[in-house]
Amino acid sequence: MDDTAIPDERLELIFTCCHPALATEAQVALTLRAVAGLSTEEIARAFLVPRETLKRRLTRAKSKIAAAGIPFSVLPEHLLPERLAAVLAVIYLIFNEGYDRQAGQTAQAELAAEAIRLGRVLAALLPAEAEPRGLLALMLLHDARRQARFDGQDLVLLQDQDRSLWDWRQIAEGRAILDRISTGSRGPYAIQAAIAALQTAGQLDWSQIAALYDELADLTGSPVVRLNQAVAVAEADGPAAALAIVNVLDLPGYQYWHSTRAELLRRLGRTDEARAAYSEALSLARTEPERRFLENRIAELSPS
Amino acid sequence: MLITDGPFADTKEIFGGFYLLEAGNLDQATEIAARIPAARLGGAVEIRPVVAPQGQP
Repeated sequence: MDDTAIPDERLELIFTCCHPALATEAQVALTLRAVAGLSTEEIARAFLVPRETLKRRLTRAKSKIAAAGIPFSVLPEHLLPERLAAVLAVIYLIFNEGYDRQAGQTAQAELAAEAIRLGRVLAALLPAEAEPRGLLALMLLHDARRQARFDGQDLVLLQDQDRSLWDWRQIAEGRAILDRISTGSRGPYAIQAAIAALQTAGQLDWSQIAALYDELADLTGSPVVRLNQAVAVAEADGPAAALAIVNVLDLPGYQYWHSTRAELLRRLGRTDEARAAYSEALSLARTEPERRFLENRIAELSPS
Repeated sequence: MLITDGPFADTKEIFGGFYLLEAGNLDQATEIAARIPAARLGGAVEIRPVVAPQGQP
C-alpha cells in the first residue's frame, strides 16, 4: 500500500471521511460534523435543508459506514483525485461558516483561517488540479475584507466599508493565484474567485459580475447562484429584472432569498411587501449583525 | 455540484443601498419583533429608532 502523501493530519482526515460508499452530500455532511465540528444546525443551514432532514442524513451515513465495515486506513495517493470534489466542498463550507461570522469575535470565525490553511495544503498537494487553487483564491479574496465588514455588532455593507482595513496583500495573492488559472480551465470555484476579484475593484463592473454568475449558474444549476446573479442584475439593470429572477427560485427556507426579495421590493417602492419579506428574513437570521440590520429595515418602512 | 450556501458577497455583503426613510410605526415594529425567536423564548429584543445623520435624504 502506498504511503499517503498528505502532509497535514486534518486534511488527511477530511479525505478519509469523504468515502465514495456514501452519496456526496452525506460525505460532506459527515465530514463537516466529524472533522470540522460544525453543529447539525450549521450543516443543515449550509445545505439549505431542515435540521431534521440533516440529522436523518447523518444517521443513515453513520449506519452505512458501520454496516460496510469501512476501515479507517491510510489513503493511497492515487485515490485522492476521485475524492477531490467532496473535499473541496468541505473546505468551502468550513470557510463559509467562518465568513458568516465576525473576525476574532467567535470561535467560528477562526474557521475561515483554518479553511484557508487547508486550502493551501490542498493546492500544494494537487498542483495539476485547478479547482483547489480557484477555491484558495476565492477564500483569500473574500477573507481580505474581514476587518471591515462589521462595526461593533453592526453589518457594514461592502460599498460602505473602509478599504484601508482590507488586507491588500491577501487580495494581491488571491488575484495572482486566479490569474494563473487559464480562463478555459475555470471551474465553479475559480469562477466564484473571478467574481470575488471583481468585487474588490474600485468600481464594480456589475454587468461582468452578472455574466460570470450566469456562467456559474449554467455550470451548477444552483438557485443560490441565480439569487446572487439577481443582485448583480439589480445593480446593472434595475430591480424589476432582478425580481423576475428571484420570484421563480425555490428557496423558501433560505434567509437570503427573503432579504434579497425584500430589498428589491423596497427599491420598487412596494413597501408593505418589502416589510413582510424582511420579517421573514429576520425570523431566519442567526447572527446579531444580520438581525440588527434587518430590524432596522423593518422599523424604517412606514406602514401603508 | 451540490446546492449549498456559500460565501456570496452579493446577498450577504453588497445588497443594501441602505438609506433612511421616515421612522416607522413603533407598534408595528414591536409586533414584528415579537416574532423573533429570542422574544418568544423570553429574551430581550431591542427596538431602536434610527436617527438620520445630517445631510442624508
